[in-house]
Amino acid sequence: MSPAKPAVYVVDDDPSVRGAMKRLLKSVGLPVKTFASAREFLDQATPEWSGCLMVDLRMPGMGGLDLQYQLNARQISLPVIFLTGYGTVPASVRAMKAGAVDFLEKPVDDQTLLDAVHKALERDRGAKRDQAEMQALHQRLAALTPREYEVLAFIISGRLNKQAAAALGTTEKTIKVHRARIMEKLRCASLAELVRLAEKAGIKTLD
Amino acid sequence: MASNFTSRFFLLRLRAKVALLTLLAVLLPNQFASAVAPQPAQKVLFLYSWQSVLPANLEWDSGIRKALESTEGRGIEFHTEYLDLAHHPEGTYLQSLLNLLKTKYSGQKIDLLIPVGDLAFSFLQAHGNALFPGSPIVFCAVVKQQLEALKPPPNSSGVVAWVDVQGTLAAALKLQPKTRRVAVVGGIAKTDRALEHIAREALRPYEGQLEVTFLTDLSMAEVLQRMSSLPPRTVVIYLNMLRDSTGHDFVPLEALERVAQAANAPVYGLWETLLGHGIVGGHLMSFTEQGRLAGELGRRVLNGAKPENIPVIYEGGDVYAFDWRQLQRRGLKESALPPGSLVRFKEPSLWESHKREVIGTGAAFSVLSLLVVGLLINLGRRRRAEGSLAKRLKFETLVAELSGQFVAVEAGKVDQEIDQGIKRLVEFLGVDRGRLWQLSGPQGEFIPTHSWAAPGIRAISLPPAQRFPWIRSQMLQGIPVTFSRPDELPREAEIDRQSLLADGINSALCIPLSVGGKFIGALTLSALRSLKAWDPGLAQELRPIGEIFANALIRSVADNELQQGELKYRIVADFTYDWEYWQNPDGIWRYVSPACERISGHRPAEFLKRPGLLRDLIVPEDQDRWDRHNCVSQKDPSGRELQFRIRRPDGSIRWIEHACQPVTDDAGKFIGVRASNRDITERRQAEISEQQHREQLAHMTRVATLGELTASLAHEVNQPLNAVMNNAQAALRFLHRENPDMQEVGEALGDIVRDGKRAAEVIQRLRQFLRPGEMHAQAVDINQVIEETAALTRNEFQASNIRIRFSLADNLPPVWADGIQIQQVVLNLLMNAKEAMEQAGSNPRELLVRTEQEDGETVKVSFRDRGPGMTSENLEKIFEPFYTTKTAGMGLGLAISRSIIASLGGRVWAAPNPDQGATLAFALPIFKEEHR
Repeated sequence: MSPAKPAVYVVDDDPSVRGAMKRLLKSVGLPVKTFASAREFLDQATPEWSGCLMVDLRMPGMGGLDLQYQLNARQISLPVIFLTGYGTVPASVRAMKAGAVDFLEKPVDDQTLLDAVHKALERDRGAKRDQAEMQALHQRLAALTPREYEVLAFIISGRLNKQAAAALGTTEKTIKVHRARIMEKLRCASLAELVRLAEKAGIKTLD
Repeated sequence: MASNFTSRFFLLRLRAKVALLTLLAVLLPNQFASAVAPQPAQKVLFLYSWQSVLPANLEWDSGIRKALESTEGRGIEFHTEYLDLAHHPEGTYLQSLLNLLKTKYSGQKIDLLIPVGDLAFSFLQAHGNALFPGSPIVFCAVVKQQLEALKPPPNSSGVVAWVDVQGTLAAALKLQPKTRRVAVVGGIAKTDRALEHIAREALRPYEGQLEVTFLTDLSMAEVLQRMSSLPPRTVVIYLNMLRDSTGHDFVPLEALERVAQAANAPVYGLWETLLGHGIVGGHLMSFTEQGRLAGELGRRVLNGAKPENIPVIYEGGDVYAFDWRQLQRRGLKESALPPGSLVRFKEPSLWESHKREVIGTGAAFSVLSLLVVGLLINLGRRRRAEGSLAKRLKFETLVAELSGQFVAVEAGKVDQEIDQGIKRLVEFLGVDRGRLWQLSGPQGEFIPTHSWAAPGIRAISLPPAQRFPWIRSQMLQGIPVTFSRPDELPREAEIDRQSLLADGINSALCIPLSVGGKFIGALTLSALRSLKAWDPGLAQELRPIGEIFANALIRSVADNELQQGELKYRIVADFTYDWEYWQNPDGIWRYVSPACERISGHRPAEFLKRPGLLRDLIVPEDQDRWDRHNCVSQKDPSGRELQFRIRRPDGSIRWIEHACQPVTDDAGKFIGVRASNRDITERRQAEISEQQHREQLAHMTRVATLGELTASLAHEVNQPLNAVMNNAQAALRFLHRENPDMQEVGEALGDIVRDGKRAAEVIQRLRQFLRPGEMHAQAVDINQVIEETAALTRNEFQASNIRIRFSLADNLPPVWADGIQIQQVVLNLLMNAKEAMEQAGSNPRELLVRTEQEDGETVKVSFRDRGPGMTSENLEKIFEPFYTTKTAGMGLGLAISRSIIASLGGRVWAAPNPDQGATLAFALPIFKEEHR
């Protein structure tokens, strides 16, 4: 499966349930891939996979919660929808805390299920988008020289050029040149934009 | 022409042959004569058990020969074999002996075999037919116990050796009343052992009174050592010693001489031959006399009597005899000897030993006076001799007549004959009253059974237990009591004397009686109107008569017992609570007990009239089973059981438990069926209500167990339902597309049908499981039950992260059980294992479920968990109701399981595993056709 193409991954030990699920998702035109056990899925999944995971909470061997934990550990970020025959509060709390999108009780109404799937796919798309943005941002930040990185911290901390020049032992004019280069490299049109970007990238202000 | 010549030639040859024969007849007159004589000499073969040097052999031999040689007419040819079986009982010796005898006697017709001693007799028992086919046997000196054990062949009779250990001991106790201990000396040869056995039996009654020690497993040296240091108040009884414990062989007489020499206490014996070799005496078996008796029997056989028609002589040829020198040596009083005792080796009195000197010094007496005295003495002697001879003859006649009378007497007339016999005896002896007493009851009381009294004399008085204690004790010791006046009784007989005086008895003769060595009573003869002087030895002579009475008495008791026995069994059968019957192979009823009426409503007579009545009574549903049962039960000697229902005439149904066994005669021929029918209706009803209770309880616990399983069950139902819903919704979507995908729709519908069925099955199983219905045992595939039950709990086990491994035997035969109940048991055991492992936090969590065929009878199902295991205390308790180690649950699951399995004839058990956890298991009977 190409990582670019999002799909719904179904893990259930019961072949009837697996088959029916696949058919339902197919009926709304969603690409589906089914697995008979958590282990089988883990053996194939990579961080590039996108879409969502639908898994039965209780299965022989590795159950749904364990699979979720394993995915987190492997930095495979797929939104997870849990299905269970007989939900229990502690299990659902654990699942949600670990980032589950939904927790559905069988038998589940098709609309509820499809809504949950769409929500999950949307979330994955968003997540994947954010991920791409962040990646681009980091690429841009990587273009800065160390001196420019130092100056950036003064700028986003709201210090004047004069203050920065004094602190860094240089002239105000030199600071201005650095500032222009930073704006250019990070493709920011305004100071506000720069501050937001730096914040997004997690660059710390002085103080 | 040629044929004519041939016949003439033949004639000539024939003539020549006749002439030759005639010549031979003239030349050999004797041979010719004996060849034509109708009766050749008869051949008698003596077979002695032991080696030839035994002195006893000679005594038997002379006794037997003497009696046999008086046979008139035909001559007798004697052959003698000393088998020496005591020293060489088996192996190659036996084989060579057999070969030797075969060589010597094959082709010879032996007219009479006389085995002497047990070993020769048992030898003949085993090999007689092969060596001497058809030869009659008259045995001599075979010990009674041995005879009984051997079961003598039909063509045999003989004389039993009466080894009277008790008689000898009684005589010894009379001589030495203060005796506290008895030392019995014997050896280890076969004959020695046989005697030891007899002695042990005989001395048992003295346990407690006397300290009895058997010196039978010692070397001669040890025996002699013990003999020289016997404690005071000991008497020694010498049995026989052919071989000592070291295997050294002895001639018993020589062994005795050494024992007697060493002994510091008097030695008593059992045989006449021992007399003069160191024994004081005793009640001795006389070999010569025994031989004579056997010879007499032999004579009758040679004269044509069949041995089987000649009664075996059990007691005879015995005598109280003592060695005078030993009496002197041991300081024992001759006066204390039993009446009628023979005293041998008496040293001549002063007159006798110094006859010559007396005669010499008494020359002064005139020859005439001597002659006169001599004549007078002679005359008196002769008169007395003649008188006693006549009396003796009369006595012998009486004995013979009485014996004859009793042999033929009918069982019903025994009492009458005994009374008559006593009358004759009383008249013969000229006394006033005669009585026969029987020893009976737990206290050994003497009960008068028969009595005859002269006219004017009271016939019956009170039993003598308290009134004649001394006489009673003498009787019990086998010692006859005679007295002419009550004063003659010893001082310790004071009570007896008073009783005699009170009863007006002047003189009496009391004879202890025994039959086959067993003391059974006494014969008393008393004079009330005169004083009676008894001949010494009379008591001894009367013994045979008393014993004739005793034998008859025993016989009448036995006959009576037989009749009583038949009556007894009849009563037992008639009054038995169950309905007993005996049916011939042809179906005709031989016996039906009256209880049949109470149970079936039909009287015995109705059954006797209608062979098929029982089957007709059986309800139609059970008749098939009955017929099948009948087919097999006639062939199964171990018996069969069956339960069936019958309908009584009033329409009510009774449950019958029927048990029967084929009856065979001695030859093993099938002669019918004996059966017992028990009315178990009430028991069945109780069982049914018990079963109902059990079923209710089982149902309750099933509901409870399922309550615990809710999650799993919901999952089991939800899975297929979920699939159904998804498939249906998908199908709708495929259908509502602009271009409906009919193939997908079709596939979805197919899956829906499948999953719908699956859900329905789960529900069905649950309903069955929860149904409070009654139990229906049938053939059940245990593997299938396990798989289905495990499916119900699958989710449960998954949740607890427990893996179930199955090791289910292929080709497992079905068991006889109720599927639902077995499912319940399997479920309980599964849940038990699961909970055990959860509690223990075991790792790895694994349950092994195994089925296997144990043997031809049962299938075993085991659940091996890896829980905390169990203590022996738990092991016992886990199947008890309300016992639980868990925090939840009623503690009923395993108890119910046990009761279910038990009701199906199986068993449940638990055992700790060697490594970790425990195994709970049950076994159920394999389904068989007869279960139907």
